[in-house]
Amino acid sequence: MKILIVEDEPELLNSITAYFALTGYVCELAATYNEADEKINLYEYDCIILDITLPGGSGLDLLKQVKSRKAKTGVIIVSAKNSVDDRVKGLQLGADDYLPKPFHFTELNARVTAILRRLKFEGGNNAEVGNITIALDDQKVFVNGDEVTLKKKEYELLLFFISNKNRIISKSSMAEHIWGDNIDRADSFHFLYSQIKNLRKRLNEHGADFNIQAVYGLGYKFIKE
Amino acid sequence: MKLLNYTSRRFFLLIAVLLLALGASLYYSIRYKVYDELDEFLVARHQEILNVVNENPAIINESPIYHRDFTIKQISEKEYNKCIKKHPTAYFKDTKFEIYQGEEEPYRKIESVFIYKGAYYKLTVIALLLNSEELLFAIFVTIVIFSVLLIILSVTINKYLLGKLWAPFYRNLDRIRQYRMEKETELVVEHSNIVEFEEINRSVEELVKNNLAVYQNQKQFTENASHEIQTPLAIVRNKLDLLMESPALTDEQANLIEAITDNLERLSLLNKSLLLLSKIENDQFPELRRIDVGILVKKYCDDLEDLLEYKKLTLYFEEDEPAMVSMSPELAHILLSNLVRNAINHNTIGGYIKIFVTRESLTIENTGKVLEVAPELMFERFRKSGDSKGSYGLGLSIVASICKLYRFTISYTADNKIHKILIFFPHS
Repeated sequence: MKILIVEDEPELLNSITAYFALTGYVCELAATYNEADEKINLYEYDCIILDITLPGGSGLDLLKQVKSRKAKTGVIIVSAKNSVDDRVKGLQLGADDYLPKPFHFTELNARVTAILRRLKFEGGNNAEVGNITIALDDQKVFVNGDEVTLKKKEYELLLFFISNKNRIISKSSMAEHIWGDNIDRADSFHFLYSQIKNLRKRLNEHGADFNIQAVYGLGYKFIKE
Repeated sequence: MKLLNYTSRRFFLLIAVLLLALGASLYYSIRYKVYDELDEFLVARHQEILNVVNENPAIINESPIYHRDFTIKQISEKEYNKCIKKHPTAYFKDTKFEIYQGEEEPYRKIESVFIYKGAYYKLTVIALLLNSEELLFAIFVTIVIFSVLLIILSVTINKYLLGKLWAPFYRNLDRIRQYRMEKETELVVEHSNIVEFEEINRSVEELVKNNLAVYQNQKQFTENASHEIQTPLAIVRNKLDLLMESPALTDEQANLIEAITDNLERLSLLNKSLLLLSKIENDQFPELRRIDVGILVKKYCDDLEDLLEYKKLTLYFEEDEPAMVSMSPELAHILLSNLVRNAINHNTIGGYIKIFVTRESLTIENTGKVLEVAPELMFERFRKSGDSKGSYGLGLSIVASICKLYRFTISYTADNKIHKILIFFPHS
């Protein structure tokens, strides 16, 4: 998988690259509009992580260029502006997703994984990890072919875990993934603990070879048992 | 009071005072002239009679029938002396005579005393005076007629001429009233060839232009502030994500990272909420759409089905009639999802949530803990009851700002452990 990261903030650029390198993606970097423009015209990418405010131009113009070509390149906009205008404009121009800053890497990773999955499999797509299969269109989970019935939020959590397998997933990134932008998070952690407990139990019962493991102080990890 | 009415009222008052003054001066000047003429006439007649007395003394004893305008009366020496002492020459006097059945008419007379052949006489010449009451009445009637004419004239002028003159002013006023700065358009006013109106127009245009610049600047500032704060937050958050991935972290280090992450999370959420509040207050959500409140509330409840089940809450949802509200879809989402979330989060295990929708209201009633502050204070920023962990006390103030923006009335009442939020959507 080849990913282009367009971001003018060097610290952020480095961090994103370091994180995706852990996942095993090939990352290329661009810090200005011109750099990105050049790279987009020269190479093919599976996914572009695109900041809107760039020195030398607007990320939205780059988006137009990418989408005007037939190549199947996913684009996810990351922006500190979090304004509705930008979001609507970006999605209208064909961006596959929009993620406001600040974001958790696990969230970015989940979104990128989803885009790549969508573009690669064209419809009837599955997410697979070990002996766990998720039929994304029907929102059904199978372990070794047996269906595991999960509640809505348990399903969302499992998908988030699978997209971030082998990574540390912090409580706050889970909370943000499940609750979105909601401001009031009172009590939500208790709920998450109980969901994880249930999920772990269900996976165990069905003999899944991957499961959720608590990491002291940090959160959770989805790893092979 | 309208300017038109104000000026007309002053105008009428002034006219009334002027007309009164005119009446008074008319009365006095006419009276003066009348007396002047009359006195001249009396003096002449008096002299004429005195001359006749010398030529034709018989006149002294003639019956007054032949000369109604004067009398000659013989008087005593004593009387003569008294009179000559008081009035050395002829003197005037106003008097009244009864002429017919008790009706008196005012007269003016001139009197003098003279000696003719050793006898003393008193000559009185009279003339009819103009009745001053009648004069006053005539003047009054004239003034009233003129006043009525003037009022009719002024009203007509106000209605047609001034109305026409002021029409562009009122049209511009309407435009100013309807002007919405957040649409970021310039204010276009109707120009006039009246200097004062044109000055106002120019000043207003200038004012709006400057304010628009300030507004855009401020909006930009809000966005820039967001950008500037979010970027370092994003960097720190992502560096922490990376740090978590480093192998062989000790438990102590893990604890430190957890504490940093939690507080960083707090900071990002606070920043996001404060930005949202300022954006709502700056009315930066101009997009309006018809929102079905019931459908949205139901959707959020369905989304949180698992959470409801986890807290063993019973949900009652009743819709009398759909509530269609015109508002920004984004704000509708924030408003309604916050309310539903609040009703769940601050509920007690095994409690209930009752949602009731009518054409113009939404009621959410839920069980919960006893409030430690007055319910209406919960709309204030950073206000929370007790130790609600993970709550920043901004949720309800955001809800209140959204309601204020759309002129919804919101009330929060708490009766022991039953909390009730009621929102009215005024339908125009």
